[in-house]
Amino acid sequence: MIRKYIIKNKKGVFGISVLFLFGLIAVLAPYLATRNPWESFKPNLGISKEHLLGTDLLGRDVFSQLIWGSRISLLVGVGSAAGILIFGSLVGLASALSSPFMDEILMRFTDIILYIPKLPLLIFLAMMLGRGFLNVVLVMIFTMWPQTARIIRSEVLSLKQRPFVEAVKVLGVGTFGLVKILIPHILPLLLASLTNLTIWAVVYEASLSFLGLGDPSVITWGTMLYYAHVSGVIFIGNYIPIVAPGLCITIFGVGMHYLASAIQDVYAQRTRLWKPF
Amino acid sequence: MLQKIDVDYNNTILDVVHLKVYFPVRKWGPFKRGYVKAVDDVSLSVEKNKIYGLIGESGSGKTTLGRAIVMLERPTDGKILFMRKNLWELKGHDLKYFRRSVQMIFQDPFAALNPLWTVFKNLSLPLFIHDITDKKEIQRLCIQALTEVKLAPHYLEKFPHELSGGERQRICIARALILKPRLIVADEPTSMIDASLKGDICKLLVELKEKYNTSYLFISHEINVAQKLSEQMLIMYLGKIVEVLTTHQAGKYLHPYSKLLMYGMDYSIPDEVILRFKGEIPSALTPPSGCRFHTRCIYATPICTTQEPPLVEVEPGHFVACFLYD
Amino acid sequence: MEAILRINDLYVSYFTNFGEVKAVNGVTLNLNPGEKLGVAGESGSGKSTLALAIMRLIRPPGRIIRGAIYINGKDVTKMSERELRGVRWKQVAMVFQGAMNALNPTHRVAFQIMEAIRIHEKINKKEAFKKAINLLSLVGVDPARAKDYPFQLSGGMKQRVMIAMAIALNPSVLIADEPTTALDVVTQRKILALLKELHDRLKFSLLMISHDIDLLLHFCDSIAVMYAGQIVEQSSTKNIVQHPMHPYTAGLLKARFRSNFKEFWSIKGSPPDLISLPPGCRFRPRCDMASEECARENPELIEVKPYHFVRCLKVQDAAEN
Repeated sequence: MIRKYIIKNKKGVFGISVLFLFGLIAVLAPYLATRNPWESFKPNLGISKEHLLGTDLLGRDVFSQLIWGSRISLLVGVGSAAGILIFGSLVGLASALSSPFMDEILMRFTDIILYIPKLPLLIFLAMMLGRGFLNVVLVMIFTMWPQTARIIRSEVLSLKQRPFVEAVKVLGVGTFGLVKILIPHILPLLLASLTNLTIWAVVYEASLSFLGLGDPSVITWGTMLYYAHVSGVIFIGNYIPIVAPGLCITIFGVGMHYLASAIQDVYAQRTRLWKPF
Repeated sequence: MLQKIDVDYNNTILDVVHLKVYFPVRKWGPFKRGYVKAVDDVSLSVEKNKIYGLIGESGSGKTTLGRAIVMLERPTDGKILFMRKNLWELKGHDLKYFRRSVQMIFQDPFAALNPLWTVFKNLSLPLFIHDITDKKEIQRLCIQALTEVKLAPHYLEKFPHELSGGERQRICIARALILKPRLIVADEPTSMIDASLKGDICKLLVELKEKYNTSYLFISHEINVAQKLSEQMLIMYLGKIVEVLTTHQAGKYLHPYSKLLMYGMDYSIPDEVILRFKGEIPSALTPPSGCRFHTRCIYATPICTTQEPPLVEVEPGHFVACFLYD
Repeated sequence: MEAILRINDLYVSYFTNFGEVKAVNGVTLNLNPGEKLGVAGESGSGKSTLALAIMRLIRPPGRIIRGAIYINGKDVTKMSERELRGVRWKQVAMVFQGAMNALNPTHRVAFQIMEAIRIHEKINKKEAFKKAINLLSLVGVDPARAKDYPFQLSGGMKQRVMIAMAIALNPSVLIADEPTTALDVVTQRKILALLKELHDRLKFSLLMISHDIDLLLHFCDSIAVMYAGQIVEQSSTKNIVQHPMHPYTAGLLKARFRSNFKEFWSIKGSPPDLISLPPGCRFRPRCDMASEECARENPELIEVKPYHFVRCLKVQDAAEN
C-alpha cells in the first residue's frame, strides 16, 4: 500500500535504487571483485584496466576492497541501526504506553545510559569484549539505543492524544492492538532515524578501527579510510584510496536519506489536514 | 434525575453519581498544586432511547464529562455505574460488553479517523475487536453501516483525506453505530460542519435513533442546535450542572446563564441586553465561591457569593441551581 | 465617490501535489469608504484566501494569477515588497482568524504592539510605547496590563490586543477574518460592539469575513456571498435578508436554526472541490433550480436590480422578463 506511493515519488525511487544497488554489490561481491583484496600488487598504481581504481600504498586493489568492504560496512551499518531501532523502540513504546510510574522508571534508566559519554563507553566496551565486528555491533547498540527510545516515546505520547487513537480505545482495542495500529504512524520517524543511525554506525565503526579496536582482519569502507589516512597515500598524490570509500559512504547515506524523506512525504499526504479556505 | 432511591435498571444505561474530575496543575514550586475542577460533583442518569443535550461553553466541563463516560478520563471522586458496576472495575467480558454498548463521536471528523487506513479498515476495526471474523459478514455490516449514513458502498475504498468534512463525520457516525450501541456520546459533532450542512447530520442522528433505539449525549455549545435535537437539556457552567429541562419547556430557561446562552445565539437581541452580563468565564483553576456564576450575574445577591445553590425541581422534570428559585 | 478597495477579476490558486486548487476564481468587489461589508462563505468558498490576497500575504504554493487589487487607487498586485511595506498596516490591516493564538507568547503585549508600529513607521521607542498605551485603552484593555504576557490575558483581551495592533497606524481598510471564533457568547458581542465603536470613531472601511451569516446580517451594511471562489450575490443587508435571489444565499438563510424552525434542512450535496470544479455554474450540483443551460457556462455577476448583484442564469433570465 505505502510501497505503491514511494515508487511514484522521485526521491523514493532514488533511495530504493541506491539501497538495492549496494545490497546487490554486497551479495554478489565474490563475482564482482576483480582481484583478491588482500593480495598485494604493485603499490600506488593509478586507474588502469587491471586495477579499476588503482592500488593503495600496500598494493592492494582498491576496487576489490570497495566491493568486499561493502559487505561488512552494510552489515555493520544496517545491523547496528536495526538493533538500536528495535531495542530503542521497544523501550520507548513500553514507556509511553504503560503507567506513569513505569514510564518514569524506564526513562530514568534510559537517561543514565544517555549521560555516559559515548566514545569512552565505546572504547571501554570494545576493550572488554575484545575484537571482532560482532562486538562492534553490540557496543554500538548498547550506546545508542537511549536516543531512539526518547524520540519514539515522545512521538507515541503525542500520538496517544490524537482523536483517532482515543477513538480506537473507546472502540475497545487492547494494548497489543494499539501497538499494531501505532507502528505505521511512527514508521516515518523510525526510517528517518534509521538513516542517521546507519551512517553513524558506519563512521563509528571506522573510528573504532582507527583506534585499533575494530577488527583488523576485515575490510570495510571505514577501515579503508583508516588505512588510507594512516598510510599517508594522499601525500603521494593518490587520492583514490580515500575518495572511493568516502564516496560510497556518502552515496549510501544520501540514498537512505531520500528514502526516508519519500516515506515521510507519503505519510504527510495521507494525514494532510485540508483546511477550509 | 437526581439520585433516586429506586433506580430503574431496565431503563437506565448509565448512572453518574457525584462525579468529580479534577486535573492537577503544578505551579512554580514542586509543592504548590492547583486543580482544574473540570467536573465538580455532577450526577445524572442516562436512560434508554433518549437524546440528551449537554450544553456549555469552553471550560464548562461538558467534554470532560462525556469523556469520563467513555472511560477516557478517570474520575477523581464519585463513580459511573454501568449495569450496577463501577466502570473502572469492569474486567474482561463485562468491559467488552461496555465497549459495545457505549460509543463516541468526536468533534474533528478528520482527526478521529486513522488517515493511513481506508474507510473500510476504519469501519471494520470495531468488528474485529469484538470477535466478528467472517469476511462476508464484515463486508455486509460495513456496507449496511454506510447505507445507514446515506453513503454509497464505493466509499469503502476511499481514504479520509479524499472526503469532505460532512462525509467524514458520517463515517464516524457509521463507525460508532456499527456495533449497535445503546448510547453514543457525541462531542460537538456539528461544530466543524458547515452551517448549511448541520441540518443533515442532525436529521441523520434522529433517524438513526428512531431506528436503533440508541440514546445520545449530544454535547455542544450551540444551544439552538441542541434544542431542536434533544429531549432533555442539561446546561453546565464551570463544572456544575446549572439547569435541567425537557425540551417541551425549552425557551422557558430560568437560570440566568441559560438565558444568556439563548440570547447569545440570537442576533436580533440587542447588544445591551447581553452586555449587562459582565466579565468572561473565570478560570476553572480558581472558580468563584458560592454560585459559580455570581461574578457575572446581574441578579446576584449576597447569598450567591457564599453558598452554592442546590439543584431544585421547580416543576416536574425542570431543575435549576439558582437562589432566585429556591 | 471612489471605492477605497477595488478588487478586479481576481484569480488566486494554490499549486499543490494534488493539483491546482482554484481558491479564488474571478472576484470583483468594491468596498466604499466607511462601509461595513460582510463576506459570507463556508468551507471552500475562498474567503480567507481573498483576505490574504488583499494583504499580499499569499505564499507559495499559492499565487495571484490574474486580476488587480486597488487600495486607495494603487494596484497592490504589482507592488514590490518594499512598496508593500508602505501599504500593509498603514493603509490596510487585518485581524486574523484565531488571532488570539497569533500573539508571541514570549514577548510582553505592549512590546508586540510597539513592534507592529515600528516596523512600518519610524518613531522611537518612547513614542511607540505611548502610542501602544493609548491603543490599549482605545480597545478597552486596562493600560496597566501593558507589561503583561499573552498567557496572562483572557481570550477576549487577546483579541482586543490584536485589534489594537491592527488599528495602530490608522488604516483606511480593516479586514476582520472570523473575529469572534473561540470566544464565549458575551465576549463575542463585546468584540463586535468594540469593532462598531472603533469603526464609528476612526472611520475606516471594514471588510468582515465570517461563516456565520447571522453575525454579518446583524453587523454589516452590505453582504457579499461567496461560493467556490466567486461572489454569487452581493447587496445591502436589507435586500439579502428580505429578497435573497441566489439559491445558495436562500439556502444559507434557510438552514439556520431559528425560532421559527420546523424541521432539519440542509443544502443538498457537498462543498465544492476546488481542484475539480464542475463545468458551468459552480453551484449547479446542489441547486434545485438548475437546468441544462446551467451546465454550459458559468454565469456572470450581473446587477439585476439597483445595487443587487446575482450570479445565476435563472434569476438573470427572470429579471429580463
